[in-house]
Amino acid sequence: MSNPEPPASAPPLDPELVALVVEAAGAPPGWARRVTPGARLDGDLLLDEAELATLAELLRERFGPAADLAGLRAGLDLAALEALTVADLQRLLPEEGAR
Amino acid sequence: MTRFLLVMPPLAGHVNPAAGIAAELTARGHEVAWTGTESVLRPLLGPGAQVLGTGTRAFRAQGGHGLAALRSLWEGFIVPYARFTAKPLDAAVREYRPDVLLVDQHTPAGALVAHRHGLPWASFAPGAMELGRPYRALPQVEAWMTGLLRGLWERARLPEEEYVDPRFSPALVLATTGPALTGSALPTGSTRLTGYVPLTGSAWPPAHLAAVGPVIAARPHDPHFPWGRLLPGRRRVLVTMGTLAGELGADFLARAVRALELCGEEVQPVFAAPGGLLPELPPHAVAVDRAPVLELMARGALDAVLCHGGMNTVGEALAHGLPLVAAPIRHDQPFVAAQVAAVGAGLRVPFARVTPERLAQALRAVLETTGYRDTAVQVGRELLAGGGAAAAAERLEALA
Repeated sequence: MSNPEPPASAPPLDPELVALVVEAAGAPPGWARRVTPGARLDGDLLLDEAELATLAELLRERFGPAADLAGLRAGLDLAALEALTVADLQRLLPEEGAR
Repeated sequence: MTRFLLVMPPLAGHVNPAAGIAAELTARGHEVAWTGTESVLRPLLGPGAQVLGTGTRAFRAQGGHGLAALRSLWEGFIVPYARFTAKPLDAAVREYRPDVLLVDQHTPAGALVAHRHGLPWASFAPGAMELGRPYRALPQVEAWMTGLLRGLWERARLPEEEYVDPRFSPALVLATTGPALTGSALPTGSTRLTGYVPLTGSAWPPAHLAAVGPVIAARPHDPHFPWGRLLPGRRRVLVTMGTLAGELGADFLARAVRALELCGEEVQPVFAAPGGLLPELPPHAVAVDRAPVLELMARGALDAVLCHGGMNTVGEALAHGLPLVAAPIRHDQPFVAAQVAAVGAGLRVPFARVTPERLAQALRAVLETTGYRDTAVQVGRELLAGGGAAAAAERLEALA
């Protein structure tokens, strides 16, 4: 399993986002170090459809309807879904002041 | 007497339940032939089965996780296998002259041939991969699959306006499952529990779906299993993860071995796994490459099952009232595992990430909490009420 390093320009991940990914994955706390901006949800973090659906619900509950992972994924083809990363998730989140 | 032709992929998990239906049809006086990869079908069906071979060619092994596994299934197996078998299947139909075809959902060429010859055909769904539509939240993925199927239809030079989805016969879809495992039995609002939105309304269940439950065929006694090593007074967990390979498979089994050690010596594990993937085992553990799963279940030798969430294993376990811990790997397994957890017949754990401690906790829960077993018994009864092989045979007879 690869665990790509984030590009130098990637902003740090929101710790709440990382915590929700860990919760949806049912993972032990130490697994959070794998949740990097460049980590693919499918190929690197190995989240399956059930876990992704749970994550979508957690994101919507915490960050509101704009954090619409299900909507984002529904618009993507297979290649784009395979390429979806944690950084893409972070871009769904509203600005901190708007939460 | 009706002549049935069964079109099956070279996969044991598909052939085994179909064999139970074939045996029932034969017992009712019908004639049954199989078509597919003879080198795989023959060892599974025995020397007495009539097999019309479609040739042998290596296809990509089923592996990987998630979307990569889905891509591999379709681009590495379903589509090339359909192309490879199209002509031999046509020849098999001309030679055997069946009255009815039973076509596995992952061998669409069988449906195309049936349509070309104007023969009645039923779809066979031994899993939830197509039936449960695990990718229904991803319309472009479903459209990609439909595009591949339409491509096969076009390649077969069938009229475009007559297109029907080769996975879903308009006459009959036979599924070896039941509402508890397909999501339709879940209460409204259970999305959070399963991660899936159950299909509701007029689209589900389709009128032509026959969910007959698991096909529990009698299997001969297995004298090679070390029956004498099953210790009295222990609770026993069968660990069977399907075809595991590579680093992740060995890594999961190592965690499972440790988890069962943490459960203590009063829990005896029975591993059905390739020996090369298992680490050193404690003395009370039993390990075999292939276990007589149904015989172990029928003898009451098991108390719980740790598996990958494959529909056959899950259905068989529940039919015997056994609770499950499911660690799904790919395809419909996350979907089935989520249903098992949602109905309360077991627990779901993440295959790639579960720690030995968490896995031991889940195993202890299903062994020690009567609720899981009680629900497994109840769900098993519901699945068996589908009628199994006898109900399947009746529905198939009605197509003739």
